Amino acid sequence: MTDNQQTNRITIRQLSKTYPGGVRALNQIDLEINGGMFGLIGPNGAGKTTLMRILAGLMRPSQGEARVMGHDLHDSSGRQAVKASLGYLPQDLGIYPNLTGREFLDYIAILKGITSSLERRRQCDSLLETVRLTEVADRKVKGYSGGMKRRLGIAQAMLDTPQLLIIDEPTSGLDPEERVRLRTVLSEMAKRCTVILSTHIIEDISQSCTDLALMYKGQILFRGSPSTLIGQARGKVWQITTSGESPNNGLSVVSMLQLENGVRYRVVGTPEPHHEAVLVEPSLEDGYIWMLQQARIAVH
Amino acid sequence: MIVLSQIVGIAFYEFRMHWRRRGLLVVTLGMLGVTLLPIMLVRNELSSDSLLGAEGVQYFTQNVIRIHWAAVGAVLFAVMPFIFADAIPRDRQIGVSEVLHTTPLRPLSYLAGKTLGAWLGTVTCLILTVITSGAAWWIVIAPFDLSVYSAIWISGALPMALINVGLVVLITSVLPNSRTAVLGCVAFVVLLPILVGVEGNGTLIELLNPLRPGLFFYYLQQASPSQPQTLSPEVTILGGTLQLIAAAVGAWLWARFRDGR
Repeated sequence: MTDNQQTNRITIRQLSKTYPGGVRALNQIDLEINGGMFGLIGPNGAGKTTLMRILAGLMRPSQGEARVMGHDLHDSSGRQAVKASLGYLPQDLGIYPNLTGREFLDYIAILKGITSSLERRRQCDSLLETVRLTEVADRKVKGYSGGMKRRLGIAQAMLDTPQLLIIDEPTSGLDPEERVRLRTVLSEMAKRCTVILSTHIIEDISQSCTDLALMYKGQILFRGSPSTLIGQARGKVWQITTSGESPNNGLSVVSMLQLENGVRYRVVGTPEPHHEAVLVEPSLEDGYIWMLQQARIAVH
Repeated sequence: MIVLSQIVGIAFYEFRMHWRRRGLLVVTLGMLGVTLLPIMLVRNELSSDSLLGAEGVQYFTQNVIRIHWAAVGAVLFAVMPFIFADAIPRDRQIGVSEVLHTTPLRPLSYLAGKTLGAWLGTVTCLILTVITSGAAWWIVIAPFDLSVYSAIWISGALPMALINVGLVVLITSVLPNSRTAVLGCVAFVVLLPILVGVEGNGTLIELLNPLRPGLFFYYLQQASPSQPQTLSPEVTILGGTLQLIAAAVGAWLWARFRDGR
């Protein structure tokens, strides 16, 4: 383990979070993150956002241990210490509509403790360039598109070169070109700090993360590399062409392609013998679907 | 150094955002309107000939005070708090607090910055009104006693505005969104005076009245001696300051309680 990984280490032991209404969002999870780019995937309600909010110091865990860079997140002082070197992009980022993009970045830079106006200006200009907002930097945020606001949110998270960057759905609302560009930027960041990336876009994980966790109903269902998750679905992914009817009986359809004489389905599971099923190489998305399918079967 | 920078930064941007939201501009124009409009109404009554000499100046000053203070006091009591009521709840409503609270910003710095920003807006509004309106009365009608005119703004309007605006910002800081903040402000501006009595009665209970009878009626008394007995302006300002401190402590404890929950 390198020094960088040691410094950036996140340790979670038996962590649980129960909301006042009795909803258990996290259920005794264990996780260790040793730096680099870490992917967090799972369906809605899996507990990803709760976990990230705890790691960002926005929420206290109900039980268990959570340490970020050696700081205990149960303590107010520990949370404060983490915030001093944190960049955070929430799923629903709010931005003051009457400020310009540049002003909003300057505002967050002040709150992050950058006291020199020259340094703030330098960082804001650089980040606006990175997320390609320089041309609209002096326009009020209320005139920005959803993608522009998302990019501004990413820029504010990267201010002051954080040691831990937690980003929730960073690429939603971005066009494909911007997504690719952003993935490159985040990969560069991951060389210097720990990046925790939560997303529904599996492609983002497969392209940029070396390590990931799959969450389901407040628990870690899988923990390992993307290639290991892909391996879980090997021998379970099929291509089936039908005249139009959807294959069922326990199969999960991953994708479909309209052909001239029918529909080609990519499915995960074990197809019935009468289907003309062709075994294909799995992708990360197939591995994700397969793991969730097995978890749901186990629950039922 | 960082804490000071954070407080000043929040105050600066808070003021800028309030100004751009136009509410502050509308109140400033409203205050200018209610203090300038009477010029048109009384310019024929107050002919310059009648204002010559010491008695004339005193008579005219009383008129300026009455007209200015009644209008300005009403605005500071009933309108200004609404402009700043959602300073903190709005951050929660639009979701920006999620980001603000992941920076190393302490709850007390946040509250201080927001309150200072609201005060900065209030003072700007007052300065624009006092200069413009005073100059207009002086030029269009006649010169008046500047020391008395300044006193109503510095010793009357300023503390009244700072206490009321500060209290509203701090009290509504525990509320979840702009709507509840406005409702909280209605309770502060409308229900509270009804409960404790609008006119004041010279007891400590009148300190809870946002009209600040000890200030409002004191300066009206200078123009017309037949006003109700109230606490002195000094006691009113001291009482308001203590309320501000209590509200700040309450808001800070609430923010600490909510931290990380």
